[in-house]
Amino acid sequence: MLAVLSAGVAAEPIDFELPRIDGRAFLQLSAYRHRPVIVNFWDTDCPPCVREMPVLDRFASAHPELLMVGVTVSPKSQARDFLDVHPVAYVQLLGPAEPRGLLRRFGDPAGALPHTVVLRSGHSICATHTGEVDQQWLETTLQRCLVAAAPQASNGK
Amino acid sequence: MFPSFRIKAAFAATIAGTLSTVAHADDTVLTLPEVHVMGSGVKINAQGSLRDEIIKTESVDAATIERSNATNLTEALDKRPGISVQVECSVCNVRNVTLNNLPGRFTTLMIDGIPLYSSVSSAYGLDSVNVQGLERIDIARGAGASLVAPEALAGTVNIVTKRPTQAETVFRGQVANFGAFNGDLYLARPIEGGALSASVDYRKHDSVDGIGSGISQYTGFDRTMAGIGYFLDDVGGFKVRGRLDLVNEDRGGGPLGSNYAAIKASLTGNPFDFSKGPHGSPDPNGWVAPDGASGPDTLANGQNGVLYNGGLGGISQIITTRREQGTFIGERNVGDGVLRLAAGIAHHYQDSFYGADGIYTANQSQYYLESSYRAPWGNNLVTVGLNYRYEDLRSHGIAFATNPGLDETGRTPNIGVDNYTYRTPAIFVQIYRPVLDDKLELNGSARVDKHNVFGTIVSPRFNALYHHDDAYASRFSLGRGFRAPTSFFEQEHGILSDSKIVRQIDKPETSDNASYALSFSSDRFSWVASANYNRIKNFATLSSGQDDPSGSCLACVTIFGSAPDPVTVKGLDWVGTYQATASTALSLGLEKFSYDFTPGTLNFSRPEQRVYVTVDSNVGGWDLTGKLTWTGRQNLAKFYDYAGTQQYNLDGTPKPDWSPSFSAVDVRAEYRFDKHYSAFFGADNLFDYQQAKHDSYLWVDSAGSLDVTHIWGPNRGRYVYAGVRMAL
Repeated sequence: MLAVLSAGVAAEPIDFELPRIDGRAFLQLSAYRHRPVIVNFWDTDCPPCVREMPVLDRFASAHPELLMVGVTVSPKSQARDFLDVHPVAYVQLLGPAEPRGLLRRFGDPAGALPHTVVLRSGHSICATHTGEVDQQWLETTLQRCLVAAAPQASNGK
Repeated sequence: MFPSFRIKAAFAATIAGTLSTVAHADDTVLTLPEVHVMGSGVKINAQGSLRDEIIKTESVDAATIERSNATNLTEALDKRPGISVQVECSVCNVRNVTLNNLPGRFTTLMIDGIPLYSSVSSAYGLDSVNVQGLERIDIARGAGASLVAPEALAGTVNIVTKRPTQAETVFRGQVANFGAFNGDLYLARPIEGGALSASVDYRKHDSVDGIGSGISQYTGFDRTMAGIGYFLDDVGGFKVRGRLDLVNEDRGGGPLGSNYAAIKASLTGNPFDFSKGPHGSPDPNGWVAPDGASGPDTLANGQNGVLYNGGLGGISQIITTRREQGTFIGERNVGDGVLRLAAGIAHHYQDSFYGADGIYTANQSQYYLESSYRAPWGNNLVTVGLNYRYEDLRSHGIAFATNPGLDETGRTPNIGVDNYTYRTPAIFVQIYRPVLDDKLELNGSARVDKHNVFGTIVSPRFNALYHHDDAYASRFSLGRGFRAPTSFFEQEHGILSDSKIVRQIDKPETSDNASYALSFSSDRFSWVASANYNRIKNFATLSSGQDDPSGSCLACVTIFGSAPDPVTVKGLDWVGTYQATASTALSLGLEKFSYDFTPGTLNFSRPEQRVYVTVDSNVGGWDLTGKLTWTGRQNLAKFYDYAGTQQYNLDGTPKPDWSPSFSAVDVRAEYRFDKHYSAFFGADNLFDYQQAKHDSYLWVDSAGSLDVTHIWGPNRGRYVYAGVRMAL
């Protein structure tokens, strides 16, 4: 399966400031600039989003060197109810009221979900993938992004 | 050249849940993974945000509906910028959903994109639209907002049913003052190859009188709603979804209580106190005839007036509603595109006792069929389709005004005076094309309807969406719609004052609409500024008590005609949401409208300004919501046409030309004990602002004839509730 192409992906450091789903604090992405990050955008009513969450959870547990962040575009209470039933260990954030601009910045101009973005340490975008990810894609992409010297963004192939 | 990503994504959204293929010009095939696309599956959870569709579409998601404590459509949509619920009768509480402050009949309600509400069902039926098991409610303002509902001159309200993704059993029970009780149960079960959901909602509420007159301002009701949703992933290659709904409601206003048989049987004497409330009558048993001469009676203080002798039944309005509706939508891949088949059926029955005015029963049937095909064509996404709409009303009534006394013996019934049958086949086409590397999206559509009464009607629409950058976007829309007037709705919900309607109308109502919206979005702050222009031509009017053009009688018929001048409503609104802290979001909404109309068209009062302030916060296990709605002064003299018919208080003094501004505050708190159990409590209209304490809904004309339609403010005082929610 080929990943969907991503247009306008930024090679420069990228950032956001979003509240944690529990409402206790904001997470400023740039505070973790020294670590590679995987950002996964999801929605409770998106079947492939739901299917890939255990894969992401296991991957995050196996790779403590990276920060795994989920960003939901669902309403807070709905996402919270969902995570009560389907808990994951990685950080969950609440997307903005109008998430489209954020998704565009992270290489998803059409707003298709799920959308996963791998950031190198320094937080330039290394790879994006629109659609369900699997373990193999995560492993391969992370290894490539960790060793890649060139800052060009790939299209997730 | 590859088709635009946006086209591929939009296409994939259409058939989400399957894999899709899109052929490229070079015959290579790109397989799109299964995706959800913003605009087809994403819910926005704050004011000041838009679904990312080319047509400006505001969404109210399920969580927002629950936080508002809404149990039906009208409660879910009330108090939102550009959207309001207008009460048109203090005794029967007919509620319309108004968009851009245009009359409610120009708002089309759709169930999963299928229009199944019209004249009769839009009167009392909107209170009986269940909001259990919904994913969201989409509101699109402006004529032509829907490709399949050209009569939506003000816009559409589309209820989107939630497809269950997990097994759920949710019960919510609530008690409140005014004898209110609400209990609802929602069940959802994924099944092999699909999902099912079911909901039952029971609600009751006493009629409410806030001033002690014995005449209600808030209508009591006893309502049961039930619904089933079904979703099947492969039925002969079709992905199928739909729902079935049943409604059973009894409501009564005027006298307090719900012993409707006793109320109908009480036809003499005066059980009310007309001296209560501001500018109450000097005599509790009647009211002043302001002209000093027309009243047949002498009041206790010696003034000329009218002594009431109609019993409980004389001012009562008792309405029974039964409704059954069903929808079906099937979609499957055919070639490079998606074939969509849709059907809907609705039967709506209303049985009304309108006190001293008469009785009225109506049966309305609506059928809807649609077939459309949507496919990429070069760098365009093209939709072509056919639909057929059938709408039929059959009524039976007795107008007491022309048959004096309340005994039906010997009366001539009004059989079918407002009957109509509309059959409307139509063809439609829509072309969507992104240009400038997807920064600019263009969408043009047109439909041609062949109406069995009004002939061939063309309705064009153009929309554009320009992404200035990641934060700013502009939307522009220009469109036209038409509506075939129905004599029922304009005839005061079936309250027939005359025994004959003379139809002098040969053109449909048409609306030209232009709108522009600029939106901004960042991680913590989003806002939308909108400007709307709406001009409605051939505005349908009903004038009762007119001479029969045939000369057979004087002041005996209702003329069903068109206003000679257009009605124009212009509006500006701004709505923003700021994530102030990680747990608290603040929203502010501002709206301003101006109206240009001739008397007899916009018949009910509308504000020129409103302000909305909302605070949502999550602290620990608490979900807290507060909402302030400020409504500016309303030009009562203009909307109620004092120049034509001055309205007076029951003491004979003139009604005020302007209403005062007022505020209403709603608060709600919910505590989650764990993922299964929560408890909530709250209050609507916390500071107990009631119009009846400032200005009575009742009014009389100069001759002392009583009416119940002087309406501009809240008709129910502080509503305090508490309940529990269990999710298993």
